[in-house]
This record gives sequence, C-alpha cells and structure tokens, in this order.
Amino acid sequence: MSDLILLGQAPSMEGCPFDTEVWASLSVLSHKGWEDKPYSKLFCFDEPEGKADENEGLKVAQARGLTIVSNKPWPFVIEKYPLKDIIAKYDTMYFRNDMSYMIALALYKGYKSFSLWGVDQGPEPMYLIGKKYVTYWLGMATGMGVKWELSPESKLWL
Amino acid sequence: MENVINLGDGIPEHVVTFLIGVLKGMKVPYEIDPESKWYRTLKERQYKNYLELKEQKRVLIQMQKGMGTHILITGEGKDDTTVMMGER
Repeated sequence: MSDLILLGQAPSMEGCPFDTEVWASLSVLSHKGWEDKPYSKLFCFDEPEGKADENEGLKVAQARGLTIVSNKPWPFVIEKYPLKDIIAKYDTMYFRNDMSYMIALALYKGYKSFSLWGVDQGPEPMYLIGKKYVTYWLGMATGMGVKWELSPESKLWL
Repeated sequence: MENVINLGDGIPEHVVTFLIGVLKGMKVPYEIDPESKWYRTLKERQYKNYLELKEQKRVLIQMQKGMGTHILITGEGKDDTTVMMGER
C-alpha cells in the first residue's frame, strides 16, 4: 500500500481503493458516486467558471468544507500551493496539468510512495498534451527513489 | 568521455520527459543537444532564459500630462522597445 493516492478523473479511476490519504483533481467530485469519498486535498489550477466539471466539483468541495489547493488567488482556495518553493527546489517550471502539480507537491512534502489512479492522459488531445508533464514528474520521483505505481487500467504509457 | 544518450527520433516525447525527470531527480547534470528536436520542444530548458528575461525587461507605463489620449509604453531589455499608441 502506498502512502498517498493521486486521483484524476480518467476511466482508470474506477477501483480506486481509498485505503490511504487521497489527493484529487477538483473535477473528480463532479462524477456521480465520487462526491462523498474521503479526500484530504483537492487541486484546482484552472478557473472553474470556464469548466463544467471543475465548477461542479467546486460546489461539492465547498459544501463539504474540503481543502482546495491552488497557486491562484481565488477566494475559495484554502491552501496555497508552494509553487515558488517547488520551482526553486527542483529547478524546473515543467508544469501544466493538475497531476503534474500534484506529483511535485507529493515529492516536496516527502512522500516515499504514491499511486496514480484516473491518470490516462488521453485519448482526447487536451489530455495527450499533458502526458509528458506527468511522466516528467514520475521520472523525477524515480530519480529521487520515490516509489510509485499506476492503477491497473491506466493508459498513461500508451 | 562525456556520457551520451542517443534517442531515436521516433521515441515519444513523454518517454523523453520521463528520462529527463529521472536525471533531474538523481541530480545528474545533463545537456540536451541544441541540434536535436528535443531542445526546442522541452519547455523545461527555457526556465533559465525566462528568469533572465524577466529580470532584464521592465515595462514602465506612465501617463504624461498634455499627451491627450496617447499612451507611451517604454520597455527595457535586450531589445529596447518603445511603443506609442495614439488616437486612431
């Protein structure tokens, strides 16, 4: 069992065990049946107003009083993402999607292992674009000796 | 002799970024051949340039009396750029 689960909203999210701490993209909460799961942090880096799933997830998160993490100065953000510190520590600005930020934070916080659920990065173009950012940070984790694993149905490497 | 990693141009970009990430995580110094297609596509390499440019370029927006609807924007940096926007 890993120390942390990083959860996205791709189809491979099914079966996520929730047997350890879970961080998730805010949009995960827009999925029916996922609203009431135990999340310790939700991540949001895109303006929710422009995205239906993020907007819906935001409503659920606020109603439940869940911790929302972002580097944006939005009023609903409860925890500020330490972007400058992470950039300085790892000497990189290679971020794009929620999952890249989430992996970076997990490394920054010192987690020794994590698993990815709901991270397929495809086939839609908007997800394909983000694939290289996710694998970059998985590479970083590998180089640092942090153990990670993908959910059984993940298509990240395809 | 310098260690060299040769990557076939058919290797997917996300595999290349994984490799770069591993090197970064291990704190292994590396350079990407500027002649290779990876040098320009990997934004990760542009970080230092971004910081240099950010320090050098300053945009001063100031309003001066008597200029009417003219706006003078002055920028300082490697390429001095002065833009004057006036009435159509």
